[in-house]
Amino acid sequence: MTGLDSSLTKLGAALERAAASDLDRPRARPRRAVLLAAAVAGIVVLTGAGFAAVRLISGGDVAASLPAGTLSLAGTEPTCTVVRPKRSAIGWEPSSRRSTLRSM
Amino acid sequence: MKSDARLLREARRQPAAFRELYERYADGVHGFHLRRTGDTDAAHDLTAETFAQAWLSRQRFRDEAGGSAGPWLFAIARYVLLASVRRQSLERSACERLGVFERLDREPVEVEPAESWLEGLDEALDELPESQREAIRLRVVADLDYSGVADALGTTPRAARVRVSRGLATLRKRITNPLEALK
Repeated sequence: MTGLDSSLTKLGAALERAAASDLDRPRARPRRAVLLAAAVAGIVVLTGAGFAAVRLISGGDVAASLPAGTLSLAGTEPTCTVVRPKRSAIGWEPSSRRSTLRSM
Repeated sequence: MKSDARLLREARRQPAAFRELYERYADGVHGFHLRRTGDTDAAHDLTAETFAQAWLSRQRFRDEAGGSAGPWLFAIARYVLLASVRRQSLERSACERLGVFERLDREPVEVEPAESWLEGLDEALDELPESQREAIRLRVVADLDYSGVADALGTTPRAARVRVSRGLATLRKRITNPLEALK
């Protein structure tokens, strides 16, 4: 087949066999379990972050965010009261917030 | 006849294609190592390592020399030689990974590489035009992609690719056949 000397011919055969074995070797690939675990971890992190964001918003934060520039609020100091949801006859009522104005 | 580039594409799934490429270059690569080491056994093992490295990195081959894999293979041979001298032991990581010596049913040779193996290696590089030498240094030694080489040289990626390709082709001729390179 070739004009190579015997040692180089043997080396060529050895390399070809080694290459064939290398091709047959199973490759590492992402497993479903790993992908699933990553997805679950992502959901947990996002949910936790959302929960933390809600808990970090206090009544004071809401009060501070009220449009201080609104003319109708001039001369007042807005505060907030959180109203807990009440159970009605037909189920949970949507939560609501009521702001009260206190004259300065 | 199939080009080297085509053989390397086929070699992604077919060891026989890689064997065909080996048949084309085994003598040249072996001669390259033999001239520098002056040791038949060491040259044989360095040839084995050169082709083992080529097999493992065949998917990174880019056809930059009109379908020839010569410049690419001799760049690997040069790297294997340099790594051996730097480590003071023959580079054989790819052969070990592929189990080449087990298939040859022999132990790798114990030879201590000498600095003299590198004589003449860098002279060939020094003789290249500066633009090609710098392009090769950035691409092969610094391992920049062609955009990076182009930025460093103030040219386009296409022009950088041409400089590297021409420089490697000239190097290959000078290393394997000094007389041919003078033509």
